[in-house]
Amino acid sequence: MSTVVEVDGVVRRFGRMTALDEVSFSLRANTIYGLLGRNGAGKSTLMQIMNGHLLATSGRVAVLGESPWERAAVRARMCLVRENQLYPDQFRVHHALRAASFLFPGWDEAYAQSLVDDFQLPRSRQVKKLSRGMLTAVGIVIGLASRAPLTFFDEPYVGLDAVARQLFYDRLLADYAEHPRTIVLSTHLIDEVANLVEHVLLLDRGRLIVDDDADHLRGAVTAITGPAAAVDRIAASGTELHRATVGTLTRATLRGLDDAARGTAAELGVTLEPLSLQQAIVSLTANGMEGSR
Amino acid sequence: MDDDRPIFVQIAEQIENAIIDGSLAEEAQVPSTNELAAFHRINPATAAKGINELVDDGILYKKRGIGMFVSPGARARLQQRRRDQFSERYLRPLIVEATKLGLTASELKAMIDKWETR
Amino acid sequence: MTSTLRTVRVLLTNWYWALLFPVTILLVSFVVNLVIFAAIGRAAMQNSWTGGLASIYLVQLAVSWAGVRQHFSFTVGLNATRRAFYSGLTLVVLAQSVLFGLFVYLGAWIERATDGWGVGMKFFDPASFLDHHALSAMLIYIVPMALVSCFGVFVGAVGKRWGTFGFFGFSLASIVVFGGIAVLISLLHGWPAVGSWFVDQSALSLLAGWALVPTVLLGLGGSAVLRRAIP
Repeated sequence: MSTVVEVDGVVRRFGRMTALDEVSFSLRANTIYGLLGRNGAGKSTLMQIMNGHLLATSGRVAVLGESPWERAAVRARMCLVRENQLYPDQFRVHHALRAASFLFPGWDEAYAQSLVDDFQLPRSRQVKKLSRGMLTAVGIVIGLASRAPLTFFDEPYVGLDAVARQLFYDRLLADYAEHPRTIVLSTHLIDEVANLVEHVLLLDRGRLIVDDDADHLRGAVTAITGPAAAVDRIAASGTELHRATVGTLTRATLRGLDDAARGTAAELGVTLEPLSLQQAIVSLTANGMEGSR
Repeated sequence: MDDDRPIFVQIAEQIENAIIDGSLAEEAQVPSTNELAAFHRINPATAAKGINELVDDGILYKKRGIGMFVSPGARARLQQRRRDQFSERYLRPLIVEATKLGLTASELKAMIDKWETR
Repeated sequence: MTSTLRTVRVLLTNWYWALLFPVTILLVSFVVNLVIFAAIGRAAMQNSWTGGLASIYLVQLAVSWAGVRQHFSFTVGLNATRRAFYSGLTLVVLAQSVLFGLFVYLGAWIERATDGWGVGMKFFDPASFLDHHALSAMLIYIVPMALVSCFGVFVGAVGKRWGTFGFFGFSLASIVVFGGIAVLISLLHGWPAVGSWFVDQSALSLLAGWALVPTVLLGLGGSAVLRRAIP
């Protein structure tokens, strides 16, 4: 699988605030990535730099071998749908779609129209008069119908109800199966996208703390519950992320528990609990909320 | 979809279960990767991983341009494997729980006999 | 299809606003002026030019400014480069300038042919521009249109790059620069010279010739400003 994006030692500062701190990773072709992290972790900034909206303060970004800044040939193959997408004042929904069709060489008009029907978007309504959810849906339609080989969705769920979100995921997966491309989704709703995402990039206060296959990550974090002494013994063989106690029962969330330790746990009467991807991510993020699951 | 095993493993297990209980016959065609992905609402790559595990195991084979099919002898092979795993998977937890409750081996055997004739 | 042509198509998506809106405003202004003029009568007006022509120039300034304000974030935000956007926008405003300039020229021609629309009103031709050679007359209308367009785009670019602070800074800088020049001229007792120079220039050289200088400067300046703006 070829590399389509390389990010190397990227730093981005805004005045005295460091939004991205030595971030390095690469993206493969035809893979769905989840870009996760808390508010203010740097996800949007990173997406903007990858898409040539912002320049990095230092470090290197290469998309399809070149810097994305002001390179028309590269950007023609990219699409960034932002959470606060701005549209020209007098545009109606059909104008927005037509304009997008001019910008993306791979635009699929029939697909766009079917998506408009799916999301029940009013074609002749002015974009500025749309509800938050419909506004987001317009962005989603543009992102999906663009068929851009590199498509980025920055928090594409704002204002969407659960039904619409599921519709988005379903359409995304269906299109991805027929027309694979590299997709990067940034989101808070980790559990919802856990089954879509192949690879996870987790940002925490500007630093990349996880760059791993989703399945591997899910298996890498475990919660063990049992008597304190037994838990301590098992916990020693991994990295402890979190601990909670009630009465004689202790639960510890661990990273990197090997098979031998798992075997010992069973013998000691310590139960192993699988964690969802969201729980694993929350545990791995520094300052995960106390006592939350 | 559970949390305790990777999704691709669960996909493979579901197909294995269908082969074992006979609903998926030998030489029958298995749903395509995209169909499975759409049905389970998962990434096609994950579905493909599950299928490939079974192909590597010899449970499924690929007919180029057509799709995936159940290998002859797959059912027997899977049943044998499950039998081999049975004691580890099911007996061990049974014994552990029984020990917790203070049930002896003979009490367990009596329970099993009663179960057969219930 | 080049990247510039792509942005041109985007800018013309809602073609009413791009190509017809300023003309509509002008026509409304014209009709209003005509009705009032016809009611009041030729004798009551000292100078029969109503000044309504300025409306299309002001609207074009606003439209150009809005062109940047509204389309930049959308177009460059999705996947256009700033360069493609700017060249596309420049092409569009120049085309608008030619289009509207010719439209006004046509109006002036009809005005002359109908002797002021039958009521002696001068709306399209304030200073007998039509006395000039046809091409010169057209340029007298077109170049100022290009000037206000480039000014509008420049202001829009300043806003996108530096926001409200940018407008403030730009206004301040303009006051300092032009005020400074005015002070300098006063110190050199140069106003009479400046005044007579302007009077000596024909409408053609002023409006179609010298006006090109700030137009080009603003055009280049706008490009430089927008180069680092964030969509």
